[in-house]
Amino acid sequence: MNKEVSIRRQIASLHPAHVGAGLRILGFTESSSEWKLHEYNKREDDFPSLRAYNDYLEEVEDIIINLVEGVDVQATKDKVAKYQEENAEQIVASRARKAEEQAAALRQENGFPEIKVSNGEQVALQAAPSGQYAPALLPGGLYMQPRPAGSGPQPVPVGGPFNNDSVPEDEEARRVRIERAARAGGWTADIVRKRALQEALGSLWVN
Amino acid sequence: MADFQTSTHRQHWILSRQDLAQKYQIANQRAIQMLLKYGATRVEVQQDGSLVYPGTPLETERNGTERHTSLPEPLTIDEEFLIRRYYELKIQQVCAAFAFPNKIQATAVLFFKRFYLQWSVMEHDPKHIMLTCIYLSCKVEEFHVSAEELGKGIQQDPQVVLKNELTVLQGLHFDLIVYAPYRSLDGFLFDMENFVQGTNNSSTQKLQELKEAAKFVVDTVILTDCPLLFTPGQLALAALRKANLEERAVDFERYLQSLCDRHPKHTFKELTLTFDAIDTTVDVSRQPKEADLMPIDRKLKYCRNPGLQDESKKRERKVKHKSKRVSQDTSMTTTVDASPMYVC
Repeated sequence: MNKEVSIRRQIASLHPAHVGAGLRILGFTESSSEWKLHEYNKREDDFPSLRAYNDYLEEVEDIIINLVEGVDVQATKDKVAKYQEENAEQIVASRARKAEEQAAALRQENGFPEIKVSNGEQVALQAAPSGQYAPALLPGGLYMQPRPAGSGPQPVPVGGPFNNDSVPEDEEARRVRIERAARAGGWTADIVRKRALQEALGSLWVN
Repeated sequence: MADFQTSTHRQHWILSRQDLAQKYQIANQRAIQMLLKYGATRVEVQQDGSLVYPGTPLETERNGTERHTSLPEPLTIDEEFLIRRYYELKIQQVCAAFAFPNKIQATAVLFFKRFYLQWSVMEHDPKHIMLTCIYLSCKVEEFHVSAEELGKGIQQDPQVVLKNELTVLQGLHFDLIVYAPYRSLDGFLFDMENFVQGTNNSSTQKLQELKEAAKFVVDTVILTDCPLLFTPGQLALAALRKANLEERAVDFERYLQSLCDRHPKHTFKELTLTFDAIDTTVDVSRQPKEADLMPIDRKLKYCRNPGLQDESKKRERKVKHKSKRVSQDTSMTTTVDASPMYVC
């Protein structure tokens, strides 16, 4: 099995469209096969019809099977080399296209952290890309702007005020923080007393 | 929220002494009958959760007469009590080893007690039930540990726990909420703080010490029959009273009096009587020693699996013959192979 995997990798470096398409069908993103992109790219839209695309894919599979099983290895390798030559131009163009897409995606991704900083002032200063909600402009507010989803592969998680350990936390600060968190949930120390007392006096008698 | 007055704990699981004795008697008798009928008292849990006595009925035994003579001796009620007590202490130790919160060991011990009201110790192996009770109590008290973790921690098979889980739940009649005296203890201490501040300036330090001492007392009280006889509030106050005898943090009589004044439902005298009863029960019961338990444990094993008894007898015979052999080797007689009993 490992042999097949390594062969697939090599072929993918030549025929990455195959890998990308296959993975697309399975629901993976192409980011996993990005590093395999060496030579060229052939996508579904490069082919005049679905039939032609499927034929191309079948060809690739044949090549792989031959290499894995060791059948007609030399002939297959010749086929691959020939294919490379014929499509050299195509390779370069598709590669450029792919790189462009990547860069655009990264740019959008990087766009998020700048705005999502929880520091209120920065949010206020960053005047407007449109679509900001009013609460985000309040200084000292910890709101994050909700953005339309799907514009980047994954949002960068931002932890709130304690993300960077610039202020070393001591025991006291930690306790204060925990207590504040509990109180935010509606808990008070008085509740503990009341409950204990209620249970004590309520459970004193059976009848 | 949790209210003792409407709980199943109060409705079903606070019994009188006669009820308690009766239940133990019933369970014990049933086990003895099973012993006579099937030759073994153990109950096995099948795949579908049903319980079965796996021993073979004695009437169909070929060497029936031989069986009758070597029938294992059943445990008496007192012996059962000692075994239970031993395992309850074990529960506390295991929970302490895992560093579980306090309420978990209380709940586990209570589950154990309640389960062995329905069943006899001879019928279900107390060690397995003990582990299952700990596991269930962790679940109920919102401190879930997986069965594997429990198994790894004490080097036991987690499958045992899972197999017995439903049996134990049925034995408890699915009444899983248990009121341990600890929260009542805290409640009374809060109340005491208010009371004490009104009178003199006894420091909170003393009350803290009282709290710790009272917790120890509660731990010992839980090991007796008291949690099945008295409510957690009564247990908590009794523990406080006992701890106060040593710590002398507060004037307990006056506090009790003020409590009764504020809540006229309880009279001073009744409460004092209750506490006295609890104290005597605690003082009377003793923790069995390991040496005492060994013979009882052996008896238990034979009851559950009489086959072991025959095997051990055979082993004894072998050992005796071996020792005879060794002593005879020195002399030149040829009586060594006289015994035809090596038919294993």
